[in-house]
Amino acid sequence: MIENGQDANPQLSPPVGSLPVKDITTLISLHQAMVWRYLRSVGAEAELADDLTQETFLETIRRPFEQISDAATASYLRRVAHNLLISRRRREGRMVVTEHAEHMETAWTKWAGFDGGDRALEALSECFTQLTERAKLALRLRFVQEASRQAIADALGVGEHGAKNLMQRAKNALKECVEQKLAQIESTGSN
Amino acid sequence: MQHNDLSEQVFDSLVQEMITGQRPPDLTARILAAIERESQSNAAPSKLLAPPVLTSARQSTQAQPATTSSPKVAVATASSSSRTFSFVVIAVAATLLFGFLGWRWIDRANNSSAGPGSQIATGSDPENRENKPKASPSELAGTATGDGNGELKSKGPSKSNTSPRHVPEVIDTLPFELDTKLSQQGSTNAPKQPRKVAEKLSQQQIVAQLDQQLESMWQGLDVSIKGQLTSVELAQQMSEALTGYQVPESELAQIVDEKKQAIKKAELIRSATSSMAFQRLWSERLIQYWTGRAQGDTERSLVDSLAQRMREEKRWNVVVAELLGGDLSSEDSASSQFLSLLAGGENHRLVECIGRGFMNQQVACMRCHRLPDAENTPANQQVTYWSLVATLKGVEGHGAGKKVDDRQENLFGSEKQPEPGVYFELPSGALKQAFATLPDGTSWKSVDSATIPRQALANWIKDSHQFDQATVNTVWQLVFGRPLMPQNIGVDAVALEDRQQMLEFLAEQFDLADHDLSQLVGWVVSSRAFAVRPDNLTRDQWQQLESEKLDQWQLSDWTFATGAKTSQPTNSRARLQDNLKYVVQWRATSKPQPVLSQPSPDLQKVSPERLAKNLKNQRPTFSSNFAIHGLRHTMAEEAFVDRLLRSEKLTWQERVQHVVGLTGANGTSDDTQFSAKELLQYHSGDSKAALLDLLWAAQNSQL
Repeated sequence: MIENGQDANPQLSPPVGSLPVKDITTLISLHQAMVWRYLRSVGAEAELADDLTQETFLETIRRPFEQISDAATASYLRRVAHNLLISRRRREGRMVVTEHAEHMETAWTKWAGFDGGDRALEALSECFTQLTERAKLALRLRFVQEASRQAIADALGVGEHGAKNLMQRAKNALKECVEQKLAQIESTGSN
Repeated sequence: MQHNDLSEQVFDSLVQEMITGQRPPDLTARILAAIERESQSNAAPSKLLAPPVLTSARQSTQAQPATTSSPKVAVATASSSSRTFSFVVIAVAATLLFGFLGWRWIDRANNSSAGPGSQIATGSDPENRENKPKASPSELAGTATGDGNGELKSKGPSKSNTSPRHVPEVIDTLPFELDTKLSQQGSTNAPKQPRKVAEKLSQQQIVAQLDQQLESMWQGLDVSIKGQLTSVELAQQMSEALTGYQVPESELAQIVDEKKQAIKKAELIRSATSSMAFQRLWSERLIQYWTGRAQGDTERSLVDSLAQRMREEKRWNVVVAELLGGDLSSEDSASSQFLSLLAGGENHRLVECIGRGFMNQQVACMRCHRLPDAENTPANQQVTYWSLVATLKGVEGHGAGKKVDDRQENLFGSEKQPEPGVYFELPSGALKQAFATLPDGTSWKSVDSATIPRQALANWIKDSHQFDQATVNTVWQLVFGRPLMPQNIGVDAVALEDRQQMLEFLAEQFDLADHDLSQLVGWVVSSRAFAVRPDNLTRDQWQQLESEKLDQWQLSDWTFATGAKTSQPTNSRARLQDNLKYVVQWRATSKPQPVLSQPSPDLQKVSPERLAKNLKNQRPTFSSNFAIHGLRHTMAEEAFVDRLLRSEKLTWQERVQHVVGLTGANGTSDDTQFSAKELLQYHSGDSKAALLDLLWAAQNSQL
């Protein structure tokens, strides 16, 4: 938790460093993984996500900053990151990023919650082990190798439709399982 | 985009992270460094330093309605009037322009003593425009600033001047960029101690000393020699290795004394190496080794040229210098023919051939990063590779057998015009420029006899110790199937000191013997290693061997204690594609288990007709003679693959390329990439297992 709030004087602070260094370090270490992950989910390549994560924090601390809660800060950082990515894509003449940041925010919080996605990933790992070997293979080929549906179908010895159905079923099973686990965690936490 | 689609997108990205294990990197140090940099340059308001895209990003950020969950953020009060904005734009442009001009001035001053090779070409130079790999001259002129060392920071328009895109931490995520200071690293190829002036020895003395070194290496590793070939077998094997033919029965008695089990080696070698068969066979082998080709008209014509030079007993280093730096005005010259097989594009194939064949260095890796575990010498840096590219600039190939154009006199002949350079990208993303310099970093003009860089390079190579080492390694590889000393750090890490010592010794004697190739080949085939009898186990026996014995065999094989691979070295080993197919087949048809197939060392006896046919068709002679056993991967192999997998920046295709490239083969071909993908599938996405299989296939295949 950033201890700031009272120290920063918007009128007197320089453009960079309106937060004490200690707080800046805390801010970065607390949220950088989330920002990077968010950028990846919006469609940034890994290297671009590195760059824009850096820019997000620079952009944020250039301004006077008041910390209210970690969740609010996280949401704000995502908005900055999102806008930086849109600007980048506009320059490149690519418009593959949704401009509906609030929709993206809803989708993000649905799966990644307010902890930057750590719990969801943990739940995903557990749920993944419950899939059949064929389903695991199909998803690995899809996500590790970025194999085409036809290539996956060939590897599994099924038709293209079969591969599509298998992956769809596997993902649905994963979603259901993750949702259950996240709900359990939430109810345990609220009790 | 629908909300459901976005939800799917977020979920997919989480699944991808979970499956690929590509976790968010720790960017703390990098971001803090950027903040520090920005703080230090705070004398100028940060608004002035922000490039347009950040300004627009900021505007974009501000334009978005704040969500209810956003923290209270006082909107920056820096919204400027249009006049202020114009001033800002002019100030930014002026700063960049003066910065760029200042850097160029400083850089010229710094490099003025290094000769014309160190000059920075202007951005308007059309040659630079042609060769710059990533950025256009206008981008460089408009966005680049210098660091005073000739390094151009490539700053995409969206990068903040005050927040460097890459700091050293990022480089650590690359596979072969090590933390260790370069000066602390050892080199495999560099001599461990300053070279002493060697004494020229007789053939008998050389072979005796080589045998002594081999014995010492085997004893140190507890490698035992199973048996030796009989005199007749050895004579036949030597004859085959030297000429491609066995000694006729009628002549055998003159060379071999069966009763005494003695063989007149010197006589056999002298007779064989002076024959046309030797000259043609070794010319063919060398051309195939250098260019990967042997069948076309140009190749055959080049074989004739080389064989002719061997017949004339020309010094081998002079022959090679002629190939590299000779006259290109005639299509029929040896140099034209040789370069036509390799030149083209930016001449990367030619550069790689020169590195591997004549400088004893696999420079292909240095195209993208400096060599791992290498000394901090110019020869191990990325800039060396690109300097070679610059040195060959103007040599333009148009396909095998077609005339090679040489525009070097136009490009490098004028004192008034700056020399053309080439741009290349460092792993950090920064751009750097390289110029035509010799591999030791000196100006090509320091070679008095040369009028163009290509000639200077050829003459430098001719007199270099690296050339002697490269020739020894090449000959050794053509006889034993693998180089005496690996050309770069990889997975072959057994007995390196002993092997280095032997390489040094043979290279020195080769130099003292006036670079006589036939003598060098003679020493190698006279060695104790050549006379070792290979294990004559059947396929079933190989399969039943215990792991311990297999490990022992592997160690013996690494140290050349399993005999010469065949009398037809270049055709005895399976091709990469054959091996890959075999491994894929094996993985596809068997249950997952820690075993792998590999060619058994007992070569199938084949008829001369079959051998000739295979030779003609470039097919391995023992494709049906594979054994399957539990070959375990070494720590060096696993470490190599682990290092590749740790790199977040490498794609799967690039990892495949690195593994296959380790043996000098081409990992970019569609076939190789396809087979690698198949392996990954059969390993259910286990990248490490797939890459280790790939490594096995590459290591056990001919180049």
